[in-house]
Amino acid sequence: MEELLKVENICVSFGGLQALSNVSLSVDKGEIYALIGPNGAGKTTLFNVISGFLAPTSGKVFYNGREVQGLPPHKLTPIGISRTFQNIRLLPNVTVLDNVRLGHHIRLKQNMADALFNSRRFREEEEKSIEDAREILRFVGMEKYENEFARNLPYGHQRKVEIARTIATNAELLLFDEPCAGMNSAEKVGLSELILEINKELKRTVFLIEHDMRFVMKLSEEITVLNQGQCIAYGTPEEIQEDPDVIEAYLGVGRKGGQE
Amino acid sequence: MLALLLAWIVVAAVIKNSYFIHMLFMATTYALLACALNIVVGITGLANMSQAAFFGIGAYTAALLATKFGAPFYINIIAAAVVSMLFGLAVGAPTLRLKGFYLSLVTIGFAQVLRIIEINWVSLTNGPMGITAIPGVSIGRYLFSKKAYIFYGLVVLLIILYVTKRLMASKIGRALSAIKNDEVAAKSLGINITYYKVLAFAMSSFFAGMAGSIYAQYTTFVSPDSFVQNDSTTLLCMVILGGSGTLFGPIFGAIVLIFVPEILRFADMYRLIFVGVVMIVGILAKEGQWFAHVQKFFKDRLTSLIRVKSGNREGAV
Amino acid sequence: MYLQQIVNGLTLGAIYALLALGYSMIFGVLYFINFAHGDIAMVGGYVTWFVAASLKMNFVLAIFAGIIVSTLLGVAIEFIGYRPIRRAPKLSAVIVSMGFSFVLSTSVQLIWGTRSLSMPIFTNVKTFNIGSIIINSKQIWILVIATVIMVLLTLLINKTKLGMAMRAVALDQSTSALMGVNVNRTISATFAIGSALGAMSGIMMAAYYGVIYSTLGGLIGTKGFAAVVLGGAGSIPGAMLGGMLIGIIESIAGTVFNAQVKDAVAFVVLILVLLFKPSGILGKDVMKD
Repeated sequence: MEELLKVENICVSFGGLQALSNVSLSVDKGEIYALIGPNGAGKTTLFNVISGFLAPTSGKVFYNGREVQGLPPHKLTPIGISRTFQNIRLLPNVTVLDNVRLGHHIRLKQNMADALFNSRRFREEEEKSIEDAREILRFVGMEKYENEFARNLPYGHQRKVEIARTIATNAELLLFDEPCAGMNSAEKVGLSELILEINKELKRTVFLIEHDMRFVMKLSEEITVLNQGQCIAYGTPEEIQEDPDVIEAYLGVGRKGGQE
Repeated sequence: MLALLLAWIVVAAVIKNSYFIHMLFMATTYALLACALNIVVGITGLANMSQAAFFGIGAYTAALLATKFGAPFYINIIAAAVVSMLFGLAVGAPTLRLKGFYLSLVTIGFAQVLRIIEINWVSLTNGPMGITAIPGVSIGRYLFSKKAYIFYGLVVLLIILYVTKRLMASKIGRALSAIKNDEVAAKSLGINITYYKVLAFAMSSFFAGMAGSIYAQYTTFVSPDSFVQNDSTTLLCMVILGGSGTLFGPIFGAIVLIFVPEILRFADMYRLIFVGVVMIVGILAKEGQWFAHVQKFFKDRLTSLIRVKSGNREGAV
Repeated sequence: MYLQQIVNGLTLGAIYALLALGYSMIFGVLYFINFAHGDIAMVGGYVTWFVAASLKMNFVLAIFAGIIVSTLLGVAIEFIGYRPIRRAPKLSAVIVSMGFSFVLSTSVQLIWGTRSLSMPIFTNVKTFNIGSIIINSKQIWILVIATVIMVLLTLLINKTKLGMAMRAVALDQSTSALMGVNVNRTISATFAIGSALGAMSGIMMAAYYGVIYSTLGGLIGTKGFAAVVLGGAGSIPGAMLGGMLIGIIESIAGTVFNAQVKDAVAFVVLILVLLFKPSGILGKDVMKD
């Protein structure tokens, strides 16, 4: 399979603290890839590097073969990387539909003159954007709430709208940071179905961070495990479940806690 | 809102008293400046504390063009807008990359430096004496009466409102409000936040320059004392209290802060206290949810009162 | 001659530094520039003038009266104006602080008028010649008192429990609350100390030039925040250094150019620092979000 994202020997240090050391991984086109690890392992830090919010201390990131580390987010989104956040970042006082339409920002060609004189291009683009946003909302099952302010939506729905917004950017690589944090198990099932559909029907590559092991095992094709800023394992879900290092560093903690 | 504008026009057409005409002109000018500032403060959420300085740049530009070259008003107003915008870019471009509070510091510093330049570059600005005998606006043989400037201002105000409304409904407006709400989210969607902040800043200073040109030709006199820090702060207050980010809110803010002190016949000194108190109380009421607290306070009292009463009744039965 | 200007500059700088310290401490805990700070300082100066000149009381007593009034004022302003909106956007707090600045400066004008009043402190000035430098007793007093205050403040912040609480709150309010720090009380204490320092600065400024006037607050206020930015916002040693540097630069500019340029220099420095090193000399890197 063709490689979409490649992370090579990424190191990040804040002051004296080494948040990531020599992390490497590669995500293929069209797959669902998961990054797991205990709290404070550096998962979100790696996402911040990939999405341009943080310049790595050293190391390289390639997207479609192009070196992109250190580029600002507004240059990465147009070439195809879009993300969600651990603490959902929708605009609270903006409608659901307009939140999704923000994802269209980079593809709208309208300029100031178009807007001022309400040109044909402007009207067509706006109509198309509304239509597309509605379609995406239908896809994630949130079309009922298009005129609702984002702040009025329950948590699970907000997540879906945020995911819809990343789809709207047309990015090929979607980074989801703990998409099912704070959800109940029924909602989690719904969300994993949605992520599968995004992957299969919309042909997007999904790279996600998750805490819930079961969720990840069912969903992803490849997994990298981070612990204390280092990759400690890589493989298919089956391999990861067997890996003694992972059990030690990640599952082990839970099991021991459970037994005692 | 349309009603307010119509009322404005009707009042402007009817009044004869030169004092009222002056007041209405000042309200128009401040409404203009506040609406321009709204693009930066209300829509984009940035603290520009030097709107009066941009107003001043526009006024000086128009004054110089009109006195030295006898330029017609349409040249004056466009040149004033462009020069003011260039200053806006010069201040905004380097600073808007920094965190929010730096902008407030730089704009205050900029306004002060500008004022010192206005006072000291005597060969250009005539120093503290200011530029006098600025010719008024004339179209052909018709020389604008003082009243006509109100309409001149209103036309520009309508242009600003139209531009703001159109922009708010476009990609640009959505990007600006995304920046105000959540810069991180805005960045993640591919919005170049520095670019849009600078754009908003430039537009605001552009329109402030226009207001300056109208003002200069109306009063026929500009001096460094016409554009001071207190005016910038008052303008900021008009925007925030009028309802930042809304289209017409800043106009209400301007009306209240211009007319109320006038109606109450405050001396100049009391006016500033009034503005200060309005700023404090207004913001506290808005952000601190005072109304909610007060409401809750009375509600609690009321329910306990009712409870006591009904308790008495039960006792009586 | 430059040596002389450095002595004069240090005196002025010490005054600015005291004011900058208050700004910086408040900035540290609440993360906004308290625009009323300069006016709080000025009120301290006026109260001192009132007690010393109108009531004709001992000037040491007058100075204490000024400090106490400013302190109470600072704490009250925080309690009434900033505490209820601590979670609101910072712009709101900035506007409220400007509102207080308007109210304080105009109230002072209403009570004591707009004319300059002569400050009856340090009337009996002795001058000393040390080589080519002339230094007077006012300058010595100011330098000594300011140094003592700065040393005490440094000890307070680094060695006491209150200082520790202030540093903790500056780093992270919610975490320090979890660790058992009383955040509200710490912020009140910060305002109290900051305002007291401000009052000291206002009184010294009035005493140094022998006059007090209603725009003094705005004048030293702007110098103070230029000093904060130069030294690095939120940094205590930075505020001291920034204040001293602004004082020295001003004094030198005053002789090289003229008096008006002298007052503008602080702003030029402010803008240059913000353009080229926005985090200031000793500040943490807060350039980008």
